[in-house]
Amino acid sequence: MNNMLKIMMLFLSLSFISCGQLMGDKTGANDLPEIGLKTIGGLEATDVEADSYLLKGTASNGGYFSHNFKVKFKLPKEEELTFFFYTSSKLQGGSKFTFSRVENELVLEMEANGKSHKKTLENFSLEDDTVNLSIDLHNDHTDVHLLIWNAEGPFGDQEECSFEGGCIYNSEDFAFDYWLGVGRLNGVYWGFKGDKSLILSLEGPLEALSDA
Amino acid sequence: MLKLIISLFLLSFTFLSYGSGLEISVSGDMVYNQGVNETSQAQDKLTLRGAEVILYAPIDHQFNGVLSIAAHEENGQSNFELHELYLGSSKLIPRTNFKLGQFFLGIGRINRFHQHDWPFTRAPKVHRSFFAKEGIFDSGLEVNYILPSLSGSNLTMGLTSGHKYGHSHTEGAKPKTPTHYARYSHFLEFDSLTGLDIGTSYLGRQDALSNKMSLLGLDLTFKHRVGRHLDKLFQFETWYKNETNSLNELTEQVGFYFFNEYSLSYHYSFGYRLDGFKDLTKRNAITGKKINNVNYGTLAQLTYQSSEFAKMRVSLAHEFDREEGETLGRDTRFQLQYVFFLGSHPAHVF
Repeated sequence: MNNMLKIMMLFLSLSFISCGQLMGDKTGANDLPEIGLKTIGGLEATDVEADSYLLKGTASNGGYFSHNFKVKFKLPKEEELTFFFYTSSKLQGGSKFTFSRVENELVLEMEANGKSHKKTLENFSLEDDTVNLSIDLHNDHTDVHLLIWNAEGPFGDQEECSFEGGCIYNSEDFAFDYWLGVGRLNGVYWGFKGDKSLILSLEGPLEALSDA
Repeated sequence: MLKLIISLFLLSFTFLSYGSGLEISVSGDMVYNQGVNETSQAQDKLTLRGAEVILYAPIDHQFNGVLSIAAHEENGQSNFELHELYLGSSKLIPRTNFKLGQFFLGIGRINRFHQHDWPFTRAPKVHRSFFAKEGIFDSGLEVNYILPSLSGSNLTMGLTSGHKYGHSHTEGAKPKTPTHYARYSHFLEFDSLTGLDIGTSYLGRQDALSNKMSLLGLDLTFKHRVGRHLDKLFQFETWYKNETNSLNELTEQVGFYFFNEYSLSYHYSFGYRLDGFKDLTKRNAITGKKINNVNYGTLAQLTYQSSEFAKMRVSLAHEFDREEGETLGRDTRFQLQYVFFLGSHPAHVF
């Protein structure tokens, strides 16, 4: 009987939760101000500091989730843009992707939890100085899994896909060289730093393309 | 080729096991997922979800051993991996059973069972979110102690390496605080055929990057049998997760499922489930305000069990998100599952 009372108390405690909370009703949290709001690449953004912006969109499940991000931007020679994924509201922590242009080559430096890898992206052509990428970050793994594709595909996710042309980059193919023990990213936001006029379109966080 | 290797493997053990007490259990779990609506994430194909081989036997008069290897389809390929390898004993310390090795952690309800033994096809969102698709297993020591009282109370405690948690293709890293957990359970026997198991669980861990995680759970399992046949099953789990990252930012989620199954006849049973999940700390990046969100799921299923060695299950599941008054991410799917067992099967807990 005592045990049954305890169970009933547990269920009764649910009555303290409002119906609105149980139904996901509107509270105005997603109502954006009508004036003074920046839009970058079609996505609402807010200033963090000079040339640094927090973008609309929050990772699910407290960040313990896999998401896809689509970024399209111009990158003239000697320019540099940085994207932050699974980061804090101050763009601290998480993963940082810095794109730079060296002559006709696109160089990407990825940083996460003190680990980094700088790589010239092969299987990639810079037509009209435009970079159009689809990026998966699987942050529900013990060690975050990074996958980068050309936005038009192909979307291979085998471990060797970066060498076989199925993807531009797969962190699991470099796990023991650069990403050993990288861990998970600890933020839920994403952001950007650089010349916002170079950004053509941004989408995210979306459903991950790969479940690898 | 894989089938040939498994057949030779089993054949060799058949001959070797004669007289040694070695038992072999093989299970196959196949699931066909068909999306019903456009936004369903179902893959619209038959998946060989799991093939598992379990070997268990007494090692000697004091210890027993278990080896479990399983293949799961990933990226179109089935790769065998070690699930469990442990030695145990219930004979060294009175009222105490321990496991030393790698095993599924003894917390909650469905985390203690292999996927093919679940009473439904797909795990509820709270389990998928907190425990990965199948469950959490790790290497270490787990001790189960039957409390000395008239009622059936159990205390399970475990300490495992914590290098990995959840889905992992890599070795992980040494945590600041290894994974530690406990489950206190109490069994109420109403009669010889009816019982209720109530458990409360805790799990804690601090990873190598100083991110702290705590899980608290409550599980209830009620069973009523008619003879050897399970007539009614009621199963409930609720979990709360609290995570503080290295920047001292807090995230909290909570979820539950409620499942009821009852037999229509000796071979057929009908079940339904209600799931709920809520991210308590999700904020809008621009406004900084907390987003009111909730995820709900329902399913209805019909199971045909020809014997204890084979079952077929059809289910229709629907899951959706509600966020700030909008319904998002609707996923309606039809699932057909077939599970079979070859050889013997280890005894289940209640």
